[in-house]
Amino acid sequence: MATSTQVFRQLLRELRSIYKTSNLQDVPAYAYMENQFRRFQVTGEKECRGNSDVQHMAETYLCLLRSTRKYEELSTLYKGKGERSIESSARMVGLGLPPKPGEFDDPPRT
Amino acid sequence: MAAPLSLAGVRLRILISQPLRFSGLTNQSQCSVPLQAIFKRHYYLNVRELKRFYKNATIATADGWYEINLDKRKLRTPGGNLFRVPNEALALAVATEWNAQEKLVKRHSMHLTQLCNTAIDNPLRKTREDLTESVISFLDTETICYRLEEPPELQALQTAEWEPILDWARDRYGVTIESTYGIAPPLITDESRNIIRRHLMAYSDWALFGYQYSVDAIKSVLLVMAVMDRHLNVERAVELATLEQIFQSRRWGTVEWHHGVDKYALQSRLAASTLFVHWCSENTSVRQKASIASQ
Repeated sequence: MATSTQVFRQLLRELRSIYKTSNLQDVPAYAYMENQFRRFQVTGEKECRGNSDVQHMAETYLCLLRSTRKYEELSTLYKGKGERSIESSARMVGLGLPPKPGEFDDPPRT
Repeated sequence: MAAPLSLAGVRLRILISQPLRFSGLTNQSQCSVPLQAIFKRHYYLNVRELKRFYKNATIATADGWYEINLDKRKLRTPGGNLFRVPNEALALAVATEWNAQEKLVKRHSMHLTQLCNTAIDNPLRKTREDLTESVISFLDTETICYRLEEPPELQALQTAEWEPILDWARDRYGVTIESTYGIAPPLITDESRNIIRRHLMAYSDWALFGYQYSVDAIKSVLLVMAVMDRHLNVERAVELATLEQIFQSRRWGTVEWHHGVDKYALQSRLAASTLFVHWCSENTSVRQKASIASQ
C-alpha cells in the first residue's frame, strides 16, 4: 500500500495537470486537500482509524482523477470517425461506384 | 437576456429552436404548452455537446450549503434547480471536475456532478424505500456468488478471491449468502436481507443515490459494502467484479479499446460514487483536546 506521502504526490500531479498552473497554492481544492492531509497526519507508526479513513479517501480520489483522465485519453485515441462513405466502403472490397450522371461524356438528351 | 445565463437556460434555448424548425410552428402561444413537455422529455437525453463557456469554476457558501459558480454565474441542474451540495469537499471536487474540462464539457465523465444532479432533481421521484429495494434486489444476482466449475483454474481463482469477501460479510455484518454453481439464485436468508436493509436505511437520502449508482456499476452489493467500509480499495473491487474477464484476458490477451476503457470507466464510476457516499454522510465535528499549546 502506498504511503500517504506517495498518494499526496500523485494527487498533486493530477491536480497540476487539471489546473495547469505552477502555483497550486491558489487553487482552493489543493488548499483543502493539503489541510486534510496535515490535519490527519499521525506521527509515528501508531495505528489510527481516522488516519486510515483519510488515506482511503485520498486513494479513492486519486483513483477517480486518474481513471477519468485515462478513460478520456483512451476514448479520444480510439474514437470512431463517423460512418464511412459509400465510395470508400466500395473501395475496401475492390469495387467502384458507377459514374454519376454528370460524369457521362455525352450530354443527356433533352 | 437580463436573467443570469444558466446552464438550464442554454439547454432551454437549444430546445426552443428545434421544435420550431421541425414543426414549422411560428406562433408563440401555440408552442408554449408542448415546449414544457418537450423540455421534460429531453430532461436527461440531451446529448448535444456543450462548449466550455466559462474560465473558472469556484465554490461559494450560502445558508450552510455549497454552490458552484462558473465565472459569475451560478451552476444549475438540468432540472433548473440551484446546484448546491452539503459538503465542502464534494463542492470542491465538483468544481475541479468543471475546471478539468477542455474545449468541450464532457458531461458523461463528470460523475460527481451527475450524481449531485440526480440527487437534487430526483427525476424519477424515487423514495428511500425505492432506492433501498433496488440495491437489495441486486443481491439475487450478486456477482461474487455465481461460480463456475470450468475451467478448474477459474474455479480455483474465484474461490480464492471471492470467498474472503463472503467471510468478511459474515464476520462484519452477520450476512450469510451461499454461492451457487448453477442458474439457481444464491440462497439468501430473510434475516440477511433485513440486516442489509437496516444498514442502508442508516444512510442519508443523497448517500443512497450514490450507493445505488455504485452497485449498478459493478453489479455487486457485497463488494460495494466492502468498499464503503474501507475494507477494499476501488481498484481491487473492480478487479474482483471483473474476475472472469481478467482471467480470460490473461489467457487470450487484452484489447485496450475495450478492456482498458471498460476498466477505467468502472473505476471512475465506483470511485466517484464512493466519495459521494462518504461526503454525503460525513458529519464533521472537531473536538479540540485540552492541551497546553491550545490555551
